[in-house]
Amino acid sequence: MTSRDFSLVFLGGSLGALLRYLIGGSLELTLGSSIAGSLSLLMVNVLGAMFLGLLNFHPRFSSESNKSFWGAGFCGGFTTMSGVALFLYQYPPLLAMPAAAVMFGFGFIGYAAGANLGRASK
Amino acid sequence: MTIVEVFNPLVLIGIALAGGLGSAIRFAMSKLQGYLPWGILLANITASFFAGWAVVYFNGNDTWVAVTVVGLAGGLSTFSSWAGASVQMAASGKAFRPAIYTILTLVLSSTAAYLGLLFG
Repeated sequence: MTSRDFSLVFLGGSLGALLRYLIGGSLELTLGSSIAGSLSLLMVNVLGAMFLGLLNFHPRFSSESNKSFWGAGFCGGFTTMSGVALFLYQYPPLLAMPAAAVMFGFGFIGYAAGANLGRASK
Repeated sequence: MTIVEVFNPLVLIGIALAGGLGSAIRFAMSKLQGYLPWGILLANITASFFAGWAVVYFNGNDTWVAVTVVGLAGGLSTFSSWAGASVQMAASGKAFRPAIYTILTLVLSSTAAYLGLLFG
Protein backbone atom coordinates (compact mmCIF):
# COMPACT_ATOMS: atom_id res chain seq x y z
CA MET A 1 0.00 0.00 0.00
CA THR A 2 1.81 3.07 -1.24
CA SER A 3 0.77 6.70 -1.00
CA ARG A 4 0.05 6.49 -4.74
CA ASP A 5 -2.45 3.68 -4.09
CA PHE A 6 -4.14 5.78 -1.40
CA SER A 7 -4.30 8.79 -3.72
CA LEU A 8 -5.89 6.72 -6.48
CA VAL A 9 -8.41 5.18 -4.07
CA PHE A 10 -9.20 8.66 -2.73
CA LEU A 11 -9.80 10.04 -6.24
CA GLY A 12 -11.85 7.02 -7.37
CA GLY A 13 -13.84 7.06 -4.13
CA SER A 14 -14.57 10.79 -4.57
CA LEU A 15 -15.84 10.19 -8.09
CA GLY A 16 -17.93 7.17 -7.04
CA ALA A 17 -19.53 8.90 -4.04
CA LEU A 18 -20.30 11.98 -6.12
CA LEU A 19 -21.89 9.94 -8.90
CA ARG A 20 -23.96 7.96 -6.35
CA TYR A 21 -25.22 11.23 -4.85
CA LEU A 22 -26.03 12.69 -8.28
CA ILE A 23 -27.96 9.57 -9.33
CA GLY A 24 -29.94 9.67 -6.07
CA GLY A 25 -30.57 13.41 -6.37
CA SER A 26 -31.61 13.21 -10.03
CA LEU A 27 -34.00 10.35 -9.34
CA GLU A 28 -35.47 12.27 -6.41
CA LEU A 29 -36.04 15.31 -8.62
CA THR A 30 -37.74 13.26 -11.33
CA LEU A 31 -39.56 10.49 -9.40
CA GLY A 32 -40.06 11.98 -5.95
CA SER A 33 -38.44 11.03 -2.66
CA SER A 34 -40.71 8.07 -1.85
CA ILE A 35 -39.35 5.76 -4.56
CA ALA A 36 -36.03 7.45 -5.44
CA GLY A 37 -34.18 6.34 -2.30
CA SER A 38 -34.76 2.62 -2.72
CA LEU A 39 -34.43 2.67 -6.51
CA SER A 40 -31.12 4.57 -6.51
CA LEU A 41 -29.76 2.28 -3.77
CA LEU A 42 -30.64 -0.81 -5.82
CA MET A 43 -29.27 0.75 -9.00
CA VAL A 44 -25.88 1.88 -7.65
CA ASN A 45 -25.25 -1.31 -5.70
CA VAL A 46 -26.10 -3.72 -8.51
CA LEU A 47 -24.33 -1.67 -11.20
CA GLY A 48 -21.31 -1.18 -8.93
CA ALA A 49 -21.08 -4.91 -8.18
CA MET A 50 -21.36 -5.69 -11.90
CA PHE A 51 -18.65 -3.19 -12.79
CA LEU A 52 -16.32 -4.56 -10.09
CA GLY A 53 -16.80 -8.07 -11.53
CA LEU A 54 -16.00 -6.79 -15.00
CA LEU A 55 -12.87 -4.89 -14.04
CA ASN A 56 -11.51 -7.69 -11.82
CA PHE A 57 -11.29 -9.94 -14.89
CA HIS A 58 -11.00 -7.58 -17.86
CA PRO A 59 -7.42 -7.27 -19.19
CA ARG A 60 -7.81 -3.51 -19.65
CA PHE A 61 -8.13 -3.05 -15.87
CA SER A 62 -5.44 -5.53 -14.83
CA SER A 63 -2.87 -2.98 -13.60
CA GLU A 64 -2.61 -2.19 -9.88
CA SER A 65 -3.33 1.47 -10.59
CA ASN A 66 -6.58 0.63 -12.36
CA LYS A 67 -7.60 -1.75 -9.58
CA SER A 68 -6.94 0.91 -6.94
CA PHE A 69 -8.76 3.71 -8.77
CA TRP A 70 -11.68 1.78 -10.30
CA GLY A 71 -11.98 -1.14 -7.87
CA ALA A 72 -11.28 -0.06 -4.28
CA GLY A 73 -11.89 3.59 -5.16
CA PHE A 74 -14.71 4.05 -7.65
CA CYS A 75 -16.75 0.86 -7.09
CA GLY A 76 -16.27 1.03 -3.32
CA GLY A 77 -17.31 4.68 -3.19
CA PHE A 78 -20.13 4.23 -5.69
CA THR A 79 -21.77 1.38 -3.76
CA THR A 80 -22.86 1.57 -0.14
CA MET A 81 -23.65 -0.83 2.67
CA SER A 82 -24.44 1.87 5.24
CA GLY A 83 -27.19 3.04 2.88
CA VAL A 84 -28.65 -0.49 2.94
CA ALA A 85 -28.46 -0.59 6.76
CA LEU A 86 -30.30 2.75 7.04
CA PHE A 87 -32.78 1.69 4.36
CA LEU A 88 -33.88 -1.19 6.59
CA TYR A 89 -35.14 1.33 9.18
CA GLN A 90 -36.73 3.77 6.74
CA TYR A 91 -39.32 1.35 5.41
CA PRO A 92 -41.68 -1.16 7.06
CA PRO A 93 -39.93 -4.53 7.66
CA LEU A 94 -42.28 -6.35 5.30
CA LEU A 95 -41.08 -4.11 2.47
CA ALA A 96 -37.48 -3.51 3.54
CA MET A 97 -36.40 -7.13 4.18
CA PRO A 98 -37.51 -8.56 0.80
CA ALA A 99 -36.07 -5.48 -0.94
CA ALA A 100 -32.71 -6.01 0.80
CA ALA A 101 -32.81 -9.72 -0.14
CA VAL A 102 -33.46 -8.79 -3.77
CA MET A 103 -30.56 -6.30 -3.68
CA PHE A 104 -28.14 -8.87 -2.24
CA GLY A 105 -29.33 -11.45 -4.78
CA PHE A 106 -28.95 -9.10 -7.74
CA GLY A 107 -25.62 -7.86 -6.39
CA PHE A 108 -24.30 -11.44 -6.26
CA ILE A 109 -25.59 -12.24 -9.76
CA GLY A 110 -24.42 -8.84 -11.04
CA TYR A 111 -20.84 -9.42 -9.91
CA ALA A 112 -20.83 -12.93 -11.44
CA ALA A 113 -22.26 -11.57 -14.72
CA GLY A 114 -19.65 -8.78 -14.81
CA ALA A 115 -16.88 -11.29 -14.11
CA ASN A 116 -18.07 -13.52 -16.98
CA LEU A 117 -18.18 -10.50 -19.28
CA GLY A 118 -14.63 -9.59 -18.24
CA ARG A 119 -13.37 -13.14 -18.83
CA ALA A 120 -15.04 -13.20 -22.25
CA SER A 121 -13.08 -10.10 -23.23
CA LYS A 122 -9.71 -11.88 -22.88
CA MET B 1 -34.97 18.59 -2.49
CA THR B 2 -34.88 21.25 -5.18
CA ILE B 3 -32.49 21.28 -8.12
CA VAL B 4 -30.50 24.10 -6.47
CA GLU B 5 -30.08 22.02 -3.29
CA VAL B 6 -29.03 18.89 -5.20
CA PHE B 7 -26.41 20.70 -7.28
CA ASN B 8 -25.15 22.97 -4.48
CA PRO B 9 -21.37 23.20 -5.17
CA LEU B 10 -20.53 23.12 -1.46
CA VAL B 11 -22.41 19.85 -1.03
CA LEU B 12 -20.78 18.36 -4.15
CA ILE B 13 -17.27 19.29 -3.00
CA GLY B 14 -17.99 18.05 0.53
CA ILE B 15 -19.31 14.70 -0.70
CA ALA B 16 -16.34 14.23 -3.04
CA LEU B 17 -13.81 14.96 -0.28
CA ALA B 18 -15.63 12.91 2.37
CA GLY B 19 -16.25 10.05 -0.07
CA GLY B 20 -12.56 9.97 -0.96
CA LEU B 21 -11.54 10.02 2.71
CA GLY B 22 -13.97 7.21 3.58
CA SER B 23 -12.70 5.13 0.65
CA ALA B 24 -9.06 5.63 1.67
CA ILE B 25 -9.84 4.51 5.26
CA ARG B 26 -11.72 1.46 3.94
CA PHE B 27 -8.77 0.65 1.67
CA ALA B 28 -6.44 0.62 4.70
CA MET B 29 -8.89 -1.52 6.70
CA SER B 30 -9.38 -3.97 3.81
CA LYS B 31 -5.94 -5.49 4.43
CA LEU B 32 -7.33 -7.13 7.58
CA GLN B 33 -8.26 -10.54 6.16
CA GLY B 34 -8.64 -14.09 7.37
CA TYR B 35 -11.44 -16.64 7.29
CA LEU B 36 -13.61 -13.72 6.13
CA PRO B 37 -12.74 -10.22 4.84
CA TRP B 38 -12.81 -8.86 8.40
CA GLY B 39 -11.54 -5.41 7.47
CA ILE B 40 -14.37 -4.77 5.00
CA LEU B 41 -16.91 -6.17 7.46
CA LEU B 42 -15.59 -3.81 10.15
CA ALA B 43 -15.65 -0.87 7.72
CA ASN B 44 -19.29 -1.62 6.86
CA ILE B 45 -20.29 -1.90 10.52
CA THR B 46 -18.45 1.30 11.48
CA ALA B 47 -19.93 3.21 8.54
CA SER B 48 -23.46 1.98 9.34
CA PHE B 49 -23.13 3.12 12.97
CA PHE B 50 -21.74 6.48 11.89
CA ALA B 51 -24.48 6.95 9.25
CA GLY B 52 -27.21 6.25 11.83
CA TRP B 53 -25.58 8.60 14.34
CA ALA B 54 -25.08 11.39 11.74
CA VAL B 55 -28.69 11.20 10.47
CA VAL B 56 -29.94 12.04 13.96
CA TYR B 57 -27.10 14.34 15.07
CA PHE B 58 -27.24 16.54 11.93
CA ASN B 59 -31.02 16.35 11.62
CA GLY B 60 -32.25 19.54 9.93
CA ASN B 61 -28.90 20.35 8.31
CA ASP B 62 -29.13 18.77 4.86
CA THR B 63 -25.59 19.77 3.86
CA TRP B 64 -23.95 18.00 6.80
CA VAL B 65 -26.24 14.98 6.43
CA ALA B 66 -25.23 14.70 2.78
CA VAL B 67 -21.51 15.11 3.48
CA THR B 68 -21.37 12.70 6.44
CA VAL B 69 -23.97 10.08 5.44
CA VAL B 70 -23.68 10.03 1.64
CA GLY B 71 -20.02 11.05 1.53
CA LEU B 72 -18.07 9.72 4.51
CA ALA B 73 -20.23 6.73 5.54
CA GLY B 74 -21.02 5.90 1.90
CA GLY B 75 -17.34 5.98 0.97
CA LEU B 76 -16.28 3.97 4.02
CA SER B 77 -18.87 1.24 3.39
CA THR B 78 -19.08 -0.88 0.27
CA PHE B 79 -21.53 -3.27 -1.31
CA SER B 80 -19.43 -4.25 -4.32
CA SER B 81 -16.65 -5.73 -2.14
CA TRP B 82 -19.23 -7.88 -0.35
CA ALA B 83 -20.49 -9.12 -3.75
CA GLY B 84 -16.98 -9.76 -5.05
CA ALA B 85 -15.80 -11.64 -1.96
CA SER B 86 -19.02 -13.68 -1.76
CA VAL B 87 -18.91 -14.77 -5.42
CA GLN B 88 -15.21 -15.63 -5.19
CA MET B 89 -15.71 -17.66 -1.99
CA ALA B 90 -18.67 -19.49 -3.56
CA ALA B 91 -16.70 -20.13 -6.78
CA SER B 92 -13.81 -21.67 -4.85
CA GLY B 93 -16.12 -24.23 -3.30
CA LYS B 94 -16.46 -22.57 0.10
CA ALA B 95 -20.26 -22.44 -0.03
CA PHE B 96 -20.66 -21.92 3.73
CA ARG B 97 -18.47 -18.81 3.95
CA PRO B 98 -20.48 -16.45 1.72
CA ALA B 99 -23.61 -17.37 3.68
CA ILE B 100 -21.92 -16.54 7.00
CA TYR B 101 -20.38 -13.39 5.53
CA THR B 102 -23.74 -12.20 4.18
CA ILE B 103 -25.62 -12.87 7.41
CA LEU B 104 -22.90 -11.19 9.51
CA THR B 105 -22.82 -8.19 7.17
CA LEU B 106 -26.59 -7.74 7.16
CA VAL B 107 -27.21 -8.37 10.86
CA LEU B 108 -24.21 -6.44 12.25
CA SER B 109 -24.52 -3.49 9.85
CA SER B 110 -28.23 -3.02 10.50
CA THR B 111 -27.71 -3.40 14.27
CA ALA B 112 -24.92 -0.83 14.13
CA ALA B 113 -27.17 1.58 12.19
CA TYR B 114 -29.88 1.08 14.81
CA LEU B 115 -27.42 1.84 17.64
CA GLY B 116 -26.22 4.90 15.74
CA LEU B 117 -29.79 6.15 15.39
CA LEU B 118 -30.24 5.53 19.10
CA PHE B 119 -27.10 7.39 20.21
CA GLY B 120 -27.30 10.24 17.70
